[in-house]
Amino acid sequence: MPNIYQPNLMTIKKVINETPDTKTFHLVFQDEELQENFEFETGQFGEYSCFGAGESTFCIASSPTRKGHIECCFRKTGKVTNALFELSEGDTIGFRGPFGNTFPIEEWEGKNVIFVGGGIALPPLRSVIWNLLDLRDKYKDISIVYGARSVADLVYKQEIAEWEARDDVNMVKTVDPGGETDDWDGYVGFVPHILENDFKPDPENTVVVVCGPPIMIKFTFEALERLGFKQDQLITTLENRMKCGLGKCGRCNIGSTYVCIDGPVFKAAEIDLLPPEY
Amino acid sequence: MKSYLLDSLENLFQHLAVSHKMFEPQSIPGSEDLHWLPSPKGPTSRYGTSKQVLPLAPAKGFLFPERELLFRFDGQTFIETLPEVAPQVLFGLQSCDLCAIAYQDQFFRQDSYYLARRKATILVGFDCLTPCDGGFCSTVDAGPFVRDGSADLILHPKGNEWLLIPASEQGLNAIQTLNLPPAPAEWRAEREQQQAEVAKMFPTDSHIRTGIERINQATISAEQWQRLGLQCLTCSGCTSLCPTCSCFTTFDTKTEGESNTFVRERCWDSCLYEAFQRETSGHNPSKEAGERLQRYWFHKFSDHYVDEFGRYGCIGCGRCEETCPGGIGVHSIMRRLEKES
Repeated sequence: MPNIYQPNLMTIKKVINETPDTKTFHLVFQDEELQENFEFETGQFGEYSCFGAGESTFCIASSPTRKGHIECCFRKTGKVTNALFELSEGDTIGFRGPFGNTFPIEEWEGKNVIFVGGGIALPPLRSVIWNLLDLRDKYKDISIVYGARSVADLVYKQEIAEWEARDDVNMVKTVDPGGETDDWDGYVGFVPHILENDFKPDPENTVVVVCGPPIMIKFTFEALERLGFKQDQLITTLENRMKCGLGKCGRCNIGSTYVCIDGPVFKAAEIDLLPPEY
Repeated sequence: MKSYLLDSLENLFQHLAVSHKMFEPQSIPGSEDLHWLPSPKGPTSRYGTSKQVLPLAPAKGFLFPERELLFRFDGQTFIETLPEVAPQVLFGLQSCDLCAIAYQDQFFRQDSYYLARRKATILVGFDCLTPCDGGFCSTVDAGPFVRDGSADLILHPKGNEWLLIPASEQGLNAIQTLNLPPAPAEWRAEREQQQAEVAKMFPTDSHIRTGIERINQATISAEQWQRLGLQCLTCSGCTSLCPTCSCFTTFDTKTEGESNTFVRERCWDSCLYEAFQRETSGHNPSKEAGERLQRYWFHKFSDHYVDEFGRYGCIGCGRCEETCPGGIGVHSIMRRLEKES
């Protein structure tokens, strides 16, 4: 029987400094056979080990359509992420996964898809954004509404520029009031506000995927419902605190739901069934 | 399966002791409490018709220890740390604690650490002929007689003799060479009858039934949970002693003197701790004691878990009531829920 707690070793192939406190790692399995055969679907997450510091939970930020390596993106805030932040190209980390359910991208075929993210919540959306862009013909309009506290806190700046340059992506970017710079060419305002008052999406044949802190998810869903969206058009992905990713440690248990195995992807109607403070 | 007549517990005990390390609930000098301890001589004489007393702590730690090594890593490779457990017998388990083990068998079915210990363990259960103080196993389908499939060997007192029921292949194998005579044919039926009689000896359980109903109908307000939560000292006494509680945390430690070697360990955790679910951002889905209490009791009595495990997460041992310094163990909580509905 495999040891469900033992990570697989991965080498950091590339480090990208996204913001002063956020990094992206490109990761490759050290076991060649695993590297060759590893599969995941968009929306799934992993448990990343910095040996000696512990394990942290992040989504897989790359798209399953892009083979060769997987990516994770994290902000240094706690013990493990601070330790991970110190690592360099060539270093070894541990990975367990993929865990959890996936974005139902086949259900979205033929529809408009809007991604709404805040701050460090763009990485979970990035996986599914690229997944859809790599299957571009299957979807109608694709829009990305992304905001952060300040210009410095925007992650994936290079990719935001790339999405802005594309004809087939509608890129809306914003920073919180006071977070703008002199040369900022996006909106200034909180994401739910910009979404409701400036972007104003049409609910017709559209799904919205929202990722952010719980308070942002709440306000964004409320704004979208005011615009006429129904609950079954709204999807989110949660990242509760986890230790195992397997429904065993109890950390992410809310009501009868385990975010790690029943999620992390939830429809708005499912979120409504959870106790208020998910 | 056939059942056998055993004329002496001593015979069975010594037979099992030949190839197994024996453990039994025993009192230690100066205290009447029972503790699970090695019992090289055994068996102690309290089995049978005497007043039932549960061990202070369940046998949970034999299979899911309070702290254990998950792996060792030297910077290059993992070093296997699966426990090597010598064959052992837990002799003298009551039905409630056996139901808890059966529950955890399902919960940890993919956990190689749990399974390594579990596979080396024979469970010998005894039917309880009297209720224990605070126990309500009959209300939650966990006793008083040992449930099918929960033990390897079941012992039922018949005067000075015993009805011995091998309840698993492992149990049958363990007694095969004892060459026991078959039990009188009517003993099994008599046991069934007696179980119903013992179940009637339990004190009223209306508060438990009402509480279960209220938890499942979600008629308990956040304010009521919060009022109850004021009495939670977050000591984790209930979760430590609860035979089905299994929340854990993991952490890495560096091995002294070996710069590149780390070990990852896990240890019991408690969902009643304030920081249990607290996220790095500071967001906490169960910041209030009432929210934590609500989740804990939901986990013990929600019908949702009956669908998954075939039973409630509570096995009716009453240990949480015994240990809770805040007076919000199972009986106290359920009485409040009954009274304040």
